[in-house]
Amino acid sequence: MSSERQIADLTKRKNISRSYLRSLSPEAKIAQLINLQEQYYEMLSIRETNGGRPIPTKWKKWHVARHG
Amino acid sequence: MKKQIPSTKIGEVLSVLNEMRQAGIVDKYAIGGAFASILHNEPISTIDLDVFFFFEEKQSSLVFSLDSIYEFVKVYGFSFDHEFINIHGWLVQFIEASHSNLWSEAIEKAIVLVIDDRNAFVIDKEHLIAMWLFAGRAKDYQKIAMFVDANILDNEKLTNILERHDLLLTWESEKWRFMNE
Repeated sequence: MSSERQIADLTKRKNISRSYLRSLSPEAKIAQLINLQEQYYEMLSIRETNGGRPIPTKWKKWHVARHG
Repeated sequence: MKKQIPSTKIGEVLSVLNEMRQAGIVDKYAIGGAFASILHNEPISTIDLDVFFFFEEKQSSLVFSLDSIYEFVKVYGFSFDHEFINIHGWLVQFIEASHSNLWSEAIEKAIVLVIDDRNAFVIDKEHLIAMWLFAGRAKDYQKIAMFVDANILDNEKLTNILERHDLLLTWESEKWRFMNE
């Protein structure tokens, strides 16, 4: 497959995926947001554990609010 | 059959906002920021829920005090930390909007979405774009780009808002950031 066709194919798949996400109900979108938040916090936590930048204060506040 | 979605407790947050309104703590309010972006478009990561509002009673001081809101949530047992109030696990930020014509209009023209069987007042897409354009941060332009890319804007309505709030020139000069032309 040529690189142009590959890009066109990837763009098409990205648009289908984004169109699906837009079509979700508000409740389902909010559930997705919570998943994103949990994943992002985990990523920040792993970064800190491995000597990278500390978890930003705002995200620490989010973690306390969500998990106590 | 409706697909079962795990409880996000957002319905409880909306109930608190609506009770705050009934108690006369706030007048009108509307959800804005990234949370509103999610409701109109697709999920993106954000930590807080921005609530733009007017006070029921006009404040005499030049500096707005959120004391009445803090007193109200204290009664419910919700904690707060600087700008955020933790309502059922959500970090809610209250932003008084009366000083800005654009923000005030955005609240007045908010749409109503039904979420978890409660009414939620949400700033419409075109006012969100104008507010982000005015704020002009990188993350605001990213959200504008997502809306433009999704082709979900009413361009006539957007132009009208931008024109009335003196943002049309800013749009023209900055649109290269979020439009593929």
